[in-house]
Amino acid sequence: MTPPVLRRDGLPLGGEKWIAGGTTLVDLMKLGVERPAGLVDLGARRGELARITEAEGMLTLGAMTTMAEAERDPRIRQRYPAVHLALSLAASPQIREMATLGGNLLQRTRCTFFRDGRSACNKRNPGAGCSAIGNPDEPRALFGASGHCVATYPGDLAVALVALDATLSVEAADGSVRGMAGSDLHRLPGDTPHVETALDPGELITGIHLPLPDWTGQTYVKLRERASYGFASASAAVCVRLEGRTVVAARVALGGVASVPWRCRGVEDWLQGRIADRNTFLQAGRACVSRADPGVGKDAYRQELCARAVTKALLVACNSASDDAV
Amino acid sequence: MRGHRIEGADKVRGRAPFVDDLREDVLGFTPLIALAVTAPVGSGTIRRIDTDAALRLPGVRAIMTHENAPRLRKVISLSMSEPGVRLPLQSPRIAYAGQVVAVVVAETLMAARQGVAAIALDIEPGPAPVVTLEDADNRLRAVKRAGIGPGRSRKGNADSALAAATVTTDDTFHNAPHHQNPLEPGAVVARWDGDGGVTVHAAVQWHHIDAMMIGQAFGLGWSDGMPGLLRRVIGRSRHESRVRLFNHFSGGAFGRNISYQALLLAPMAARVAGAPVKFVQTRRDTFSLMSHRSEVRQRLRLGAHPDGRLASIVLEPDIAKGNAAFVEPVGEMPFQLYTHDTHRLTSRVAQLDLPGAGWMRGPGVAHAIFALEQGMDRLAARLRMDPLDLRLLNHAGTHPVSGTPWEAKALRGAYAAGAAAIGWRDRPKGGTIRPDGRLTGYGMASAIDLGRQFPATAHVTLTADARAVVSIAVAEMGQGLLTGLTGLVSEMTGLPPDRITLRRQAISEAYAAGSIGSTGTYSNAAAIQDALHRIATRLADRTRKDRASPLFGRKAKRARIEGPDLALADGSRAPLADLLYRHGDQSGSGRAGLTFGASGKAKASFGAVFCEMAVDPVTLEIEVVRLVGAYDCGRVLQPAIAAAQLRGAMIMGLGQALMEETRLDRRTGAWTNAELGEALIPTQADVPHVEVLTVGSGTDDGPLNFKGIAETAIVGVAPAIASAFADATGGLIRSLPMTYVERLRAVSALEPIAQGVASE
Ligand SMILES: Cc1cc2nc3c(=O)[nH]c(=O)nc-3n(C[C@H](O)[C@H](O)[C@H](O)COP(=O)(O)OP(=O)(O)OC[C@H]3O[C@@H](n4cnc5c(N)ncnc54)[C@H](O)[C@@H]3O)c2cc1C
Ligand code: SF4
Repeated sequence: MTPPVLRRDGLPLGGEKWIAGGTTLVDLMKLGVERPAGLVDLGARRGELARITEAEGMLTLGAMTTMAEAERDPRIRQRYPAVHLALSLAASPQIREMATLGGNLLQRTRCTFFRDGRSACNKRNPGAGCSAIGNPDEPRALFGASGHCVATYPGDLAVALVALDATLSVEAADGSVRGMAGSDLHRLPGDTPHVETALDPGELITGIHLPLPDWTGQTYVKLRERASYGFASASAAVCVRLEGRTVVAARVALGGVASVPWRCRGVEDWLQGRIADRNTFLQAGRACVSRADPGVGKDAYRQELCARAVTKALLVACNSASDDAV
Repeated sequence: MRGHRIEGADKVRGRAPFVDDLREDVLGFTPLIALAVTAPVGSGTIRRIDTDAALRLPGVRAIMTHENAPRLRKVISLSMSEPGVRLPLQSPRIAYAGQVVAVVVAETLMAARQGVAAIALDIEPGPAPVVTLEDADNRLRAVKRAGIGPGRSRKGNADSALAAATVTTDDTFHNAPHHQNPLEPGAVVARWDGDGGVTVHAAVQWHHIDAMMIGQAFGLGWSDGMPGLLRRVIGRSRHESRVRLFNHFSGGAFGRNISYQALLLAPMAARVAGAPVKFVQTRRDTFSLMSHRSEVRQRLRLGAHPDGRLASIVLEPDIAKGNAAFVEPVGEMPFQLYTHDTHRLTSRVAQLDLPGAGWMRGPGVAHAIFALEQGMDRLAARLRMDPLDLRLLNHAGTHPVSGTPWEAKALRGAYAAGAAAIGWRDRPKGGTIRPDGRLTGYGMASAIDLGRQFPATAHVTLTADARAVVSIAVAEMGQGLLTGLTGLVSEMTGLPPDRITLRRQAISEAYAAGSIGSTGTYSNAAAIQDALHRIATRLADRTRKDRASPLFGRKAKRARIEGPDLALADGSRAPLADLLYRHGDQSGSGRAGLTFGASGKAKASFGAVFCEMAVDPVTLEIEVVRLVGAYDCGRVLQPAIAAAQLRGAMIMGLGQALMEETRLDRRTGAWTNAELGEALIPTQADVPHVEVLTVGSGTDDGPLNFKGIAETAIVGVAPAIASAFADATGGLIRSLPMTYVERLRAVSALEPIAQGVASE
């Protein structure tokens, strides 16, 4: 175990990693969870990758844009409030000044046994077993868990991106660029929980593309145990298109409760053609969790919380001031 | 000067050194770095520790395990800390997860970390650890005493009074364990000296008590043991010691700033390595090497007469205890708050497989008053009385058990000031909808904490050029004690603060009371005052004989320094500075508090806390909109520091109410959210409008007419917040912290939405 070498150029080769803001990677290195053989600093490409550009109605956010820069951008504030909220409610102002959008998407689970660096964990140490399965004291994913890993994906931004049908640009080691749906980035744990994304080794996320929104309302609701600097206990990104009082289209994605950002397609379909009122949204929230893995012990409350986050997000997105919602 | 901390400028400029910052220039040597290896499981026996790979790493100098660690002698821990019952690295037995099983000593931090990672533990597993009260039914034992508080007490026949009461309540409350989490993780430097003594640099809360523990463990002789301590306290001695403990600033404490074990592990490691070491605590270590506030469950039954007067209080706490003598003194305060006909306290304690629990702001009382005040609210609801009126009705004009009068009590004033500030009497009905759609709730609670004094000594020299040098080994943990004491000395002597020096760091300074239980300022100031009285008496004797003195020939016996003069009982006075110039340096050793402040009167500090809350009816998100605390703390010494202390304690109370808990993995017995990113404490965004008010003016008009304040202010906050939630939603809180899981439970019986609208 020698200290990793930091390089300013080239590509990460076997066992090496990109480093952007370092807020997640260095944290995990200090905990002994990540042990990269070397680091390639993306700072050198900030000029090219930290821009927010607009073309054909599509807004492209360079992957090296910091969370704070993106959060402050007036186009994001106005056209993509779900993204604005997902960013401004994440982490702390200090971290957001340093952290990049690419790094944010690739943050890793907060599962305590993953982070303690020594409990049995299939994600950290494939085949070692999972200390969280069957443990009544720790939260587990309500959706997407497997018999090998029950950890949740903790990030906020990715949940909003999934609801907004965002796409990513990914640059391969040979310099070629491919597109990828935002919802394809994270992989279900299955029997390989250590493989978290669809990126090949050395691949680089260069940009995030947000399609021109044709929603009448969108928002991101994050429920957490403190008002700042806390991960979501449950969150919901919601987009709706209303005609009069009728929902003609909706997107619902859940955060903090699933192994990947979780789209509720069944509920999206169910919402179509319904009247946008409190009762509909209560039912939609409930329907979102109806197929959740029945939680164990104290964890069961998170289904309830998740349902409430969806209801609240739908109420806000439909601009029904919550006073008639009481 | 007033309002500014003496050490403040150095701290904000980064010039105030903390132990981990000490380098060759201060220490005179460069220590090796020592890190702990901890047990991953909560019970078992170590079969083997494979250190070969670690010892081969470059830079690793030594590894200490139970096999090669110095044997320690039994110690008396007056602070009831873990070493009093369990000394580190003395046996292969594992008592709890996170226990230190080895220490790696290396040339650099990096090498030490690599060494820790390279150590392989072979552990013979023991029976499953028991770490929560829920699993500890067969470990509960009835106790006579719970730590420094009573485990049992009774007044009259509470059970029959309860059975006969018109209105009753019956609830079981729960408080989760949590940690003090000071910002500074802490470090201890140790070096063995040529004469067999040891030099230690640390940040401790009770200098000579902690030094004595080190002296006893290493068998350094009587003068470093209990006899030496008694000589310091009773004989006001400032003898040299072979434990040369230098006390430094600490970055927060709230009960504990450095592990008591670390105070032993550093010298042990230095001995094994044959060189000075700095033992460094990682953030994770701070959870298992340091104490925590333990889990408590309390069944509380209240019985009232039809008019609301309390007929019976029956409190049955179950208290978790870790591997230390300390037990949360839950039963100490709840019977001192309200007048009542009868009470019964029956406590049980369960020894759990956890690190030693310990002191944390408002020990015992913060838990107990949460339960009592929630009970009072339930009672008020049943009686259809305003919660404040119920408290006023049961206000204790004299001590509710002994009947003795209070030394000073301004609780009624606190109720009035707090109620006025928040607009209690005109508050909207609970559940009223705010313009933004959220529900409004108001809550209030009383606060109380014991008034104590601890023995302290001080050696004061007033110099010929009119400076005061005070030798007193106090601890500065960020609470502002140095500033407070300097201000008091300035007031007592009339000398400006910049002519006052407090010498506190070395062990050869006078024995001071620890910075514990809000008693530090008062106890130490009393010793300083005694020293000044002694100086005054002697100075008066000399100046009476001095023809040139305005006091020449005066007969009056009693002399006092009443800054800026020396005053005799007959009213004559002479400027102190002139007398000092004429007679030269004057020294005196003072002592106070040997009776722990006992007098014919009952002592306590009081307060009243009020909260306004907004609750989202859909998500149950809460915002504490306003928090008002009115505290009866006698005279306020340094208004800015007092306000900061009170506000800080209230924010801590808000954390206790809303988020603070350290969770346990019941399979291994380990703390799971053992990092600052996951063990939540309030952020700025959680902290609403916090308003502090002070009432009361103390007992007399002397400089000591103030009370300790830091602990009382945490006490009423959690119940006031829980009450506000109940007022807004109707959901009654039973467990702290009141995170979503508890809030959802509280409302589940009330709201149709919680029970699930049929999904399609
Ligand atoms: C205490 C704390 C609280 C937090 N709370 C929240 C929260 O509430 N919500 C939330 O969403 N996040 C939260 N975060 C996570 C934070 O947002 C991330 O740490 C941050 O966004 C990561 O960005 P970075 O640039 O620092 O990534 P780095 O740490 O530099 O990189 C992270 C990973 O991504 C890889 N990487 C980085 N950029 C690229 C790229 N362009 N292409 C391919 N790979 C790349 C790196 O190799 C590394 O593996 C929190 C973090 C902390 C420490
Ligand atoms: S849930 Fe996943 S991350 Fe957590 S211990 Fe199991 S395998 Fe590791």
